[in-house]
Amino acid sequence: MSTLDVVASVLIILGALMSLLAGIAVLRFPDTMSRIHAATKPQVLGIMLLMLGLGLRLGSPGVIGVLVLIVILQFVTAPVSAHLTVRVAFRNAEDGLGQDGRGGDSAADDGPAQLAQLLSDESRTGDRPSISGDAEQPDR
Amino acid sequence: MTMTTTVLIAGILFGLGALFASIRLVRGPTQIDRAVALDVLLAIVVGVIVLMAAATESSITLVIAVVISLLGFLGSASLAKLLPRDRQ
Repeated sequence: MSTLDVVASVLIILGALMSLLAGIAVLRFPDTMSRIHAATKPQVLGIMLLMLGLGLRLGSPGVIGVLVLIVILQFVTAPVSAHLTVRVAFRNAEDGLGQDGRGGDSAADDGPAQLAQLLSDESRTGDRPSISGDAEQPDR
Repeated sequence: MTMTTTVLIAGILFGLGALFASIRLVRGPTQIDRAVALDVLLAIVVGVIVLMAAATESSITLVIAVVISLLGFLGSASLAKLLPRDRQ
């Protein structure tokens, strides 16, 4: 087994490790935005490592063209889709969805009390709560 | 370290990552969490396709990886546009 194959194997395993880390992070992280932050890593870095490994392994020019195409597509589209998703998550957090204002999975997230608070939120005026996420407005 | 060992180790890593992302997909309190878990699952699917191409030394499955990465972008972008706000 040549050195090139060893390098390719190490790169492929590193890319797979990125996917495992993203899975653990998506499962373990406390709120939506940190989950999105962790979930973008295998989409760019993991795919790039995997494509490097596969390019070292196969090595014909046509294959490398396809691999570069995939890497460029991921580089362009992954930040854009993460940005779109984060914008929706940020606006939901701004509206004070969870009790802590972050939309995390605290025990008070679901249930009729929270629905009632949501409905009472509908009647507030145009000023939004601050970014720091203090869900306790005094005039409510 | 042969290629079989590499495929085995990387397959186990991909499988564990997909398992954890699937747990978040089932559990996730908001719909955005589920969309994020789906993004991770799609990245894992692209990785598995690349791993399959490395195992069989054929580049015929790489076209599927191109299509899946494009579809993943379209899916998450349209989910971000179309998800209703403030619903769990």
